[in-house]
Amino acid sequence: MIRGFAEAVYKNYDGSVYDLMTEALEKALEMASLERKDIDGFMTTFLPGVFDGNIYMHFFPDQLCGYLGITPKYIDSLEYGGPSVLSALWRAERLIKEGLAENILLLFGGKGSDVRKRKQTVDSFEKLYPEVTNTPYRHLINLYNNMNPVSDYALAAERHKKIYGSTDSQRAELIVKQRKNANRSGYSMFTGDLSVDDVLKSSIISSPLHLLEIVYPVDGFHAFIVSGKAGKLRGIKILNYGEAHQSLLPPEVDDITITPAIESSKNFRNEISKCDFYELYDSFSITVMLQLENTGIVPAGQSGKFIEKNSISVDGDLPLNTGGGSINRGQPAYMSGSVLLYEALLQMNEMASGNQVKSPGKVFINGIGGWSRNHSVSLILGD
Amino acid sequence: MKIDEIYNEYDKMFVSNKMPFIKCKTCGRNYYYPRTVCPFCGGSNIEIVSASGTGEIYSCTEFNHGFYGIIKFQEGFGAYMDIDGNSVSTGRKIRIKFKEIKGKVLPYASVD
Repeated sequence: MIRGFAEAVYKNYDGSVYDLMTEALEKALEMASLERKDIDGFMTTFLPGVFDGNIYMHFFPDQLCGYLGITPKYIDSLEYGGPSVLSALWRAERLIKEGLAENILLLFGGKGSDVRKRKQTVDSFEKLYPEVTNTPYRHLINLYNNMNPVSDYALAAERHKKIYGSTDSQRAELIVKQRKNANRSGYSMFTGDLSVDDVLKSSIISSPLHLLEIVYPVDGFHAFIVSGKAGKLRGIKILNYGEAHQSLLPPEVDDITITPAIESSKNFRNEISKCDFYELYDSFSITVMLQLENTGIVPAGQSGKFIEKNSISVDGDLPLNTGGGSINRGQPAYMSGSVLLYEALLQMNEMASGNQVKSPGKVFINGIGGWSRNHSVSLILGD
Repeated sequence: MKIDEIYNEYDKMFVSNKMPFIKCKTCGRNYYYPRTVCPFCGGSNIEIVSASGTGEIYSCTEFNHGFYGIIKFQEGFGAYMDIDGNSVSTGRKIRIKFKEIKGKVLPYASVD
């Protein structure tokens, strides 16, 4: 169960990453009515560049615990990008059940602006350091004209267009509908009227993807305190869970529109259709479309038409990315998993005010990670 | 075979304008990105072979004033690379050429 959750998210945070994480932690402790001494488990992740510009930090989780004044019995760092926090929640629930810890802090985030301002992503950050190669494939990938993950997701969008006939307008329609959710939520970073034309007229960053289809990296941390007791909050837990990882590179698979979400969701497909709302990883427009298809919510190739025909607002046919998603809320440190989980918790605890899903029983969350979509985590939260 | 042997052989072949790939003698699949065991079957009976250098664009993106994409080669393996030519689009046939990038000779795809 989650006893406290909080975010500290800024478009540009002037101070250090350590101040930012402290803000998120203190808010979560306050909600949970706990103190630092009560935290006995710690889970986090590291990505290059987002910790005050460092490409690497040794003994990373231990350094954070030391700084924050936390003495955990259990430490973990999950290293598969965006969906890592979702796996951390599942692992934390199991550790608590096993009696290995009582209150586990999940602390995920960093400063995306440090990387963004240097015109790189966490996956291309090594280009700034010619002596560093971050992959076993050395110069065979990183010397070419790419900037992952943007260029790689562009290849997926292009392939989806080619084999299924999806259109730029269909992807733009998703962006417009997520913006409507953001406008209604009142707690989004990016708001205001947006039309399909506006999306299509925004500059093409990596064809066919336009600027407004691409998540904006921001500064922020989310803190979730997983505990045996829910405290003031609703006692929700993971009802169904799957994670899947693949090791082949996109050029080595037969179909790049297939992600490990097919595998991570396969054991509870029937339950997914019964959920009241959906939070799907939205690093790019195409990411959402691939998950709609890969988790069986719509048939393969039909996500574009589905989005055109259906409403994704909290009272629509398929409430999806109800707070506007990370496309509108910003993507802290190049990871959207915490944004999805935070929104799901707001809704499930009926704290979303004017943008509240009515009687939210269950939510389906899916996260996709890695620049080459090698990781997927699928889960359903409920009572 | 050790990983550095694969890279050394690849670099030599690039310099003599040959497109290398790895043939798995256990399962018969071909792959490009260097591993000493086959990513498809786990077999370690592998050899480095020279490819025909022809294939087609599986998917491509225009990015940073150039094209980049996934090439599927006639021998069945796939690779990322820069793409050059007048009418670059998904599905077009390509032929491999070579260029120097930051001191390394590397293959790129050229639309016929």
